Amino acid sequence: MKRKYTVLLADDDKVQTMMLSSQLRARGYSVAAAFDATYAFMVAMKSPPDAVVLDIMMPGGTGRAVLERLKGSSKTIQIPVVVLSSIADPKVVGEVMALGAAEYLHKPVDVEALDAALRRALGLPAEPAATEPSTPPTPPGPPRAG
Amino acid sequence: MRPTENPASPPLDLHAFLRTLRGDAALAAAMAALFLSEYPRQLDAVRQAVAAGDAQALEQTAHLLRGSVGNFVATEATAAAARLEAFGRSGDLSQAAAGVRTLETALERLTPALREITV
Repeated sequence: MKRKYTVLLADDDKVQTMMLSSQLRARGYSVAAAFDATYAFMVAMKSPPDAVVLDIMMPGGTGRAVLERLKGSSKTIQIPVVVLSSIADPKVVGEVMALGAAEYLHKPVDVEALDAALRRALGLPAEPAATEPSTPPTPPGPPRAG
Repeated sequence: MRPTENPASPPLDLHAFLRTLRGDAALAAAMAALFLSEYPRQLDAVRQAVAAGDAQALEQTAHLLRGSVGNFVATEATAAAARLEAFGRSGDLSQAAAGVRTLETALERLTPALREITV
């Protein structure tokens, strides 16, 4: 049996969310989506995901505020947050990383780069799938003759 | 001639777009259909922000549209939205109305190309 990691995509860009949801599901993740900051925080509190992918500019409050609240709650402080934004301002990047983001990726993002960032954030090996065995692998049997 | 009026320039780089989707044509069609249903409201929000002289709203609404249209590797429309976002960020909206017209033209060129993807 393998564990499926849950990812909350918090982004008001529905088109990109559709793309990344589909691509991350194909890589073995379970994906939930939130299109505004308030709802994203509510979902994270109600059903804490394994990781959050967070946009910075969203309606209903900023992604930065969501990050602060996630890192300020004992229920969600351990959830790694990968920030995904088209804002390239080094000051913003520095502020977000100081708030506890695991990674900062620039839009548009390739799913492989996002998958790699999620794996690093979740402490998973780099390849090949977004799942890991929940039990130790079965040792190989004795060599067969012939 | 403005860049968006150049008929030789395709409104989107379909090959690059499909490459980002690993050739998933069904996903491309779904994304295009979603964008076609969403962008008129986003564009209207941009127009309203300019009409109201609300720089912060312009930055936010143009930012969303830029990100959304950017998914399709639609260089002209993305650049037009980015320009409006920059106007909003700077607070100088003196060129914003012209910027909206440029964006509208780019989106008018992009729309039929996206409709073809959805078929």
